[in-house]
Amino acid sequence: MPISLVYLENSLVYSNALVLLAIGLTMTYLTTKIPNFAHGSLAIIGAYLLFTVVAVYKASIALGFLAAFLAGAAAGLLEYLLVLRPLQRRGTDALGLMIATLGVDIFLIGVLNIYADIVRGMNPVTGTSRDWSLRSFVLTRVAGLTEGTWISIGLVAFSLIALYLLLTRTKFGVAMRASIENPQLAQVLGVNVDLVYAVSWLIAGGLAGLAGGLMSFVLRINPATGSLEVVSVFAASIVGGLQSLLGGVVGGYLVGLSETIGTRLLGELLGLTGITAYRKVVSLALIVVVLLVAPEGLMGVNWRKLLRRMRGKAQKAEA
Amino acid sequence: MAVPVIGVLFEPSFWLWVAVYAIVSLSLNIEAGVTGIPNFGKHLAVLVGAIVAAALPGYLGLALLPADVKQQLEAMTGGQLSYAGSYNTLIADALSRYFAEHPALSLALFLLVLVVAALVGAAVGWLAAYPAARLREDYLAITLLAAAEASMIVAYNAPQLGGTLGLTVPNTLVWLDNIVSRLGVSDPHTVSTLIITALVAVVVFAYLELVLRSPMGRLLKGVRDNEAAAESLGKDVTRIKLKTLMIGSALAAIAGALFMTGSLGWMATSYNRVSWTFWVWAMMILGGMANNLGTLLGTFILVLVRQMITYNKTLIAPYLPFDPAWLDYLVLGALLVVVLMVRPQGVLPEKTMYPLPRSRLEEKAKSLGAPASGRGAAR
Repeated sequence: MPISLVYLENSLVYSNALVLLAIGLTMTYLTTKIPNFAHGSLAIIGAYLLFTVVAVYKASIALGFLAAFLAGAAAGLLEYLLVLRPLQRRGTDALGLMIATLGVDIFLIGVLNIYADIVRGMNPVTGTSRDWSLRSFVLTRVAGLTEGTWISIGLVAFSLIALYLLLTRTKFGVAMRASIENPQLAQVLGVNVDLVYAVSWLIAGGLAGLAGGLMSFVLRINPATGSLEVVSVFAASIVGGLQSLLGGVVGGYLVGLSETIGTRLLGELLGLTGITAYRKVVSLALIVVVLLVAPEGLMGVNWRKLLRRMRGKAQKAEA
Repeated sequence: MAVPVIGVLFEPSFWLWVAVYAIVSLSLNIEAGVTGIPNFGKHLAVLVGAIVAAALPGYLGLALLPADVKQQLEAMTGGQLSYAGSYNTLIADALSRYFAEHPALSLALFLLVLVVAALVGAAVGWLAAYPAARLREDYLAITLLAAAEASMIVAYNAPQLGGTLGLTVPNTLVWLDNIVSRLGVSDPHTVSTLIITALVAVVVFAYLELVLRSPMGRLLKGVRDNEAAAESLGKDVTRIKLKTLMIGSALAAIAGALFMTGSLGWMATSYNRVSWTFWVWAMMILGGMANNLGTLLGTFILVLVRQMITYNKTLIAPYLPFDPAWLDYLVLGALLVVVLMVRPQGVLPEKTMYPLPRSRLEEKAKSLGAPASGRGAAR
């Protein structure tokens, strides 16, 4: 059975969402040096905001994404300011900080569940506030592709260009890169590292919010979706190497496409049904392979050296 | 509201929760508290143990049935005799009845479940940690979490385990149930599960306490406090971490198998991250990391808190526009963060373990000609 256009579109939308999430996760990882286990739930906050604007108040999708960005950004910023920074000031070690993000995650899942119960009383168009999807809202075809696909492409392109310009063309962006590279030195040179870190969390949360909105186009969302999707986000970041934002982009597409198209092909090859169960196994397998072969991720591999060595071996084999 | 609080202490089900969680949190303590391994996939081992307890009595029990009993069953199900099929409840009931008539067989199956659960748990603990054991702790945390989540989704969809509907599991503890029910207990199965689980918990506590006081315990703490130093003294840090995870996972798998045997119903979603990773971490951190007694205390406190929320749910439900079950999550999440901020060492902080009793140490110091030891001089 050939893979249909709709399936390809869905996998593209999902991959785009993963790219936004992986960039955000990498950004926060670079600042606090620990993975944010609540990152998936930040995305679902965005998804619920989009849901509220579109399905309850019947406003435009653009307004919904704005709300999703703002809510995600606020949640990310608060997580950093109220939990992680105070703990870092107290000298909590990496283990303690990771547990704290787990605590934030479960708190957010609780908040989302409560919110879902409250929204149910506001009679959303989709009829349910648990296990919903906005797929039917973005199915109009424009120039061959669905609206949802265009929105996801537009959001990712816009976010990547904006982030690139911010990091390379503005003084603040340079300060940001400096404080990530060497916080002490940046501080000595008068960079407000605290502000820079707070802004990183704000941006990361906002991107996660957007990604959550995109996910609601292709997945069924419930308050616990984030705690499962975080596996794919980690896979994307680890494949990219956890150290570079470009790695997040590459990892996001690689993991997103292999989770959707790869699982589909694998399922057909092995004659398995119910492929959704094996999606996260594909992500797990990617994590395992990358950690065993190249723990620094794709961006950490010295490709030129590897290529030269392979060529050298090939020549030796010929000789 | 005082009545449910006191009342709960007389419920065997409450103490069963305490005993099961005690095993899991003690096993996490040796991994995370003592050795510093961030096992964020604790529910993986519990899940694996529960899978063994759900699958083995059914599949093996069905295979061991004598031909005439099998034929009787086949007549009832119309020739279909698959444990996880549409006649699961019927088959499980028939097996339970057969086990009740053959207590020796059920005892053997029960012990086999525990042994297999421990072995499979240890293997899974090693497998899940192997790719990242050499790397920094955050990679290990991510890998363990991802492995646990992926496994749960697969188990939830596996047709061999009844898929999303779950399974009814035959009772392998029926030999003890029969003895207990003769004593006139109203809920014999819970009580008999409690007896076994409490016994296991006591043994686990004693074993881990011995480990903690032994040279092995000091080595594990050394790995946690300074990996480079431990390595420079010739210790293979990666291997020690993997071994610790194998022991911790084996113990957690036994707890999962016992819990599953107690509930007699398999449902993959019962073994989720919130119940068997978050709560367990909260118990250990609240009680005191690297302190077994503290971990037990934290376990007791949090099981009590959780039961109180459950008991009083119906009282507060009318005043809330949402299901009060979610308060569970808010309390747990906030508690984790607050404890980390206010009292990161927990209720009972870690104690320094002396290789010899204090008095013997002082004697030794004296015989070596050290200045007469006042209080604290031997430290």
